[in-house]
Amino acid sequence: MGDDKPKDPLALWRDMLAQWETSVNALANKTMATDEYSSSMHGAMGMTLRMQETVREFMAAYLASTNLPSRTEVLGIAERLGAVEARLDRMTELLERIATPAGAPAPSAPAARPPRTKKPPAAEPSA
Amino acid sequence: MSSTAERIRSEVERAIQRSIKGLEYFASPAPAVGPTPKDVLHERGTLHLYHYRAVADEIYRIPILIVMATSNRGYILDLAPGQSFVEYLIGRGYDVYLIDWSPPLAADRNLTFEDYTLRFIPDCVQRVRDDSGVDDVTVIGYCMGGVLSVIYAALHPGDFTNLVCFTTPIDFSKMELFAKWSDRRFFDVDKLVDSTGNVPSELIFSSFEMLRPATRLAGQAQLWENMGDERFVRSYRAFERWSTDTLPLAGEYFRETIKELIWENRLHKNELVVGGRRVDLGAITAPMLHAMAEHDHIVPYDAAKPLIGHVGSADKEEIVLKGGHVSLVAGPNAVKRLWPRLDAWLGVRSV
Repeated sequence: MGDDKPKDPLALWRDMLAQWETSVNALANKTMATDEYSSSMHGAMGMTLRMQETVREFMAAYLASTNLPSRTEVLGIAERLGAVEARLDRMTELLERIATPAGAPAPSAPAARPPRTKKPPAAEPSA
Repeated sequence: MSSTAERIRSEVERAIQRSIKGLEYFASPAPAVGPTPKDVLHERGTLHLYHYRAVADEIYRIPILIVMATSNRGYILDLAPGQSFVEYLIGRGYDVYLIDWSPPLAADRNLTFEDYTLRFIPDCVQRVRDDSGVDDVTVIGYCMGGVLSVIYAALHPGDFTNLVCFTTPIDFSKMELFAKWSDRRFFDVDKLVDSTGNVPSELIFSSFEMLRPATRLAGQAQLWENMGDERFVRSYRAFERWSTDTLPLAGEYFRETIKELIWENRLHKNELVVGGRRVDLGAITAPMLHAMAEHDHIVPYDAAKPLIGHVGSADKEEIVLKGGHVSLVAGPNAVKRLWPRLDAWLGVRSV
């Protein structure tokens, strides 16, 4: 007995941890698969959404009274900026294409690429 | 007796090392991810199309376009050198393009399946053609990226050459917990989308977390135990960063996912209509591979299994590998299991 290889003292801990993880996950999944859980989860979500709505309305009124833009207005500006950027990108792309002589690689094209001649290993002739 | 004393001494030393490394862990910045050099080919709101730079002397004729899942960042496929699916592919001689997603802006709230599958993916396939100078393209979709790829493929059967899906759900009734949580008797999806616009990333993150509530804590205990193992810590941190970095979802797209896919299970019933056209999976006739994970807690095997049966391809194959939803495509097991299997399947179909 005494000559046995010494046991890893952490092995027991690792086993326990793995077992704990499996059983807690299984138990939680069982609980979360019930109608009661779904119902209460969405009840809580509905309450949060209602609360957020109230806060949003209050903040919009407050920001308007202090002459500051609301989140919706800032997002509107961001949206328009995004559209301007996208249009600029398209114009740049078009200008690059117009400025590049036919047949020449586009200025943004990376350096020469390897040839597309690769064959799968089994199909390659043996050396 | 002496061996027990040695054992205790080594455990004490490990505990000290763990404490030192633990301090370093909290003091160091988040790990860098997505290291493989790439060029941005196209950007359009939430969509980013990347092209990875080739490293091989010669590459396969047919390029690959990967469609990432809409709920997560694409760097899971390029975590770190030696742990990167993309790096593996370019090393094996593939020409790789990737569609990645960033958080949808307020203006993107109205994006639908139609935008993703009739505009975004076909447009990117065309851009890959233009950039590579090759008409053929292999499309690879991961999870919801697979669902979008399958819808695109059914609606554009002649537009691509090979289709590969990783853990792609088709029968949503078999995603039991998700189906339960979105039970129409309790879940007012209209109210959620109408009041939030885009669905917050916190909600998406919590849904994934709740599938395995004890796993994060168990993972932290494992991290503490392996604090001295730099490779383990680096890998843990990269995965941790990715798993908490979930994306919000475009509101209308989320509403469609809940109503059309989860509530009505229309994709599985071959009844889904996108842009006025029915999505008939039988119309897919290109060579197809579907890789699934044996212990996938997000997309269980039963939810993904029917895909191969639905498609009309004569050359089709499914593989079920050990591992979970993420470890199938990333991490040390993927290096040994999925990646070489995919290479063997795809190489002969990429010439």
